[in-house]
Amino acid sequence: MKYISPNGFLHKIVAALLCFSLFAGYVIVAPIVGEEHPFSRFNMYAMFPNTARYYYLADENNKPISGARKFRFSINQIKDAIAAREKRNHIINGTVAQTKPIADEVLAYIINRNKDNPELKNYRQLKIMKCNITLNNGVVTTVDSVVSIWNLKAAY
Amino acid sequence: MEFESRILSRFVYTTGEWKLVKILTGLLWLLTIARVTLVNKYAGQPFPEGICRLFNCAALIQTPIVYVLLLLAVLLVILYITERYMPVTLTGLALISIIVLTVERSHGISSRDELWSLLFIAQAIAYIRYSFTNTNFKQQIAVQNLAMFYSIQLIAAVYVTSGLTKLQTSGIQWIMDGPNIAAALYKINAQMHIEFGLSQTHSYLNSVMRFINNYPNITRTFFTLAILTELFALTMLLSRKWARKYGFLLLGLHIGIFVCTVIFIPVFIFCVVVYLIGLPKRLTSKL
Repeated sequence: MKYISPNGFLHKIVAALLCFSLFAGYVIVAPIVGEEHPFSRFNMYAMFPNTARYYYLADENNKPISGARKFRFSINQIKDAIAAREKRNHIINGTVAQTKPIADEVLAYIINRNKDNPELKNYRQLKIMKCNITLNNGVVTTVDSVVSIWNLKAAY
Repeated sequence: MEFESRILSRFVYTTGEWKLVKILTGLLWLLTIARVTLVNKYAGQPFPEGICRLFNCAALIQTPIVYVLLLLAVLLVILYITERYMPVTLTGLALISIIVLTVERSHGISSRDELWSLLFIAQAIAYIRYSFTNTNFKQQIAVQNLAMFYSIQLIAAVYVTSGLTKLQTSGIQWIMDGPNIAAALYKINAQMHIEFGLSQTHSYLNSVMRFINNYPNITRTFFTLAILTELFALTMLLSRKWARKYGFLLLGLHIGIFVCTVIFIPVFIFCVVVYLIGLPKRLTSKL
């Protein structure tokens, strides 16, 4: 009985849980619910493999283009958009062949968002490139590959 | 109740402080939803998540409906700052925040804006709960103390969740593999070169990468301190003084993250400075 008396240990635990219920609720529920706003696991940089990758827009000569400055779609947004589609298709760190249909979809989305943007007229092709980075003993190696191409002069 | 009253008596805020917190929260939140609705102009919801699974949220941020939504948001922020109909006002703000920010998430874009919605949810719960408490409780505890305490609970929860996710995903390897962050830094460096035309070979991030490669154990020590800071964030729930001290620690963590990776998430800095560290008295005394 001494544990559940008003000054007992159990009573104190229940009182603390009730007092900090919002904190406890979020810490318990967020990992279960996952990435559903306003819940999140905040998994940014939760692991550090020796590899990294990013995607970027490029012109017909594979020369990088600033998506944020020219097409209102930043380099991080390209990565997020591809990652969301990879997640939908249950792909983890997809190969170029696996990523191609997804990157095609994202490139079509970017072009569609910019259909009135005069900047499009400056390019014959718009591409999404993928850059794979590997770190070994402090030395970085990179491999760039084309994952999607859109022929602009033909479309617009 | 007694335990809670004892804890709450350590979180005391003046009405002036609370007003300034509300002004800053309301205005910066308005800027955030204006960015999503007027600048980014998302159409449709290709990857519906959260509340957008229940109905087409994106329809609410299309013109001309978006102007009605933004007008309502401005009106609710005015009611929030002037402390009118708070349970309803805060529920409305939380709902608008969740809808607008979930539309962005439903495009696969993660802007890490969860805390905006969480602040309004915490404060709505505080005001709703306060309206059901007895006179004795109301005489002891001012409503702003409960609202700030609940807000700080969710801020602490976000940091602890982040720390636990790192442990769950990588375990102790999160610290041991810490020097591999150099690969991520190379990526950020290259992205900044493409996006903003900054030099890739003579950049600041290059020198950070060199430091990490040369001193992997110092890097691991910093990573240990970082995860401990996140995991022990519940310490800030002990009292306002502890919240303030922990706020400085978290500000140090965010400055460290910025120095190391150039990553800066505005809403986290806002919460740390405004909700944890607190604002100078001379700014709040006349409100």
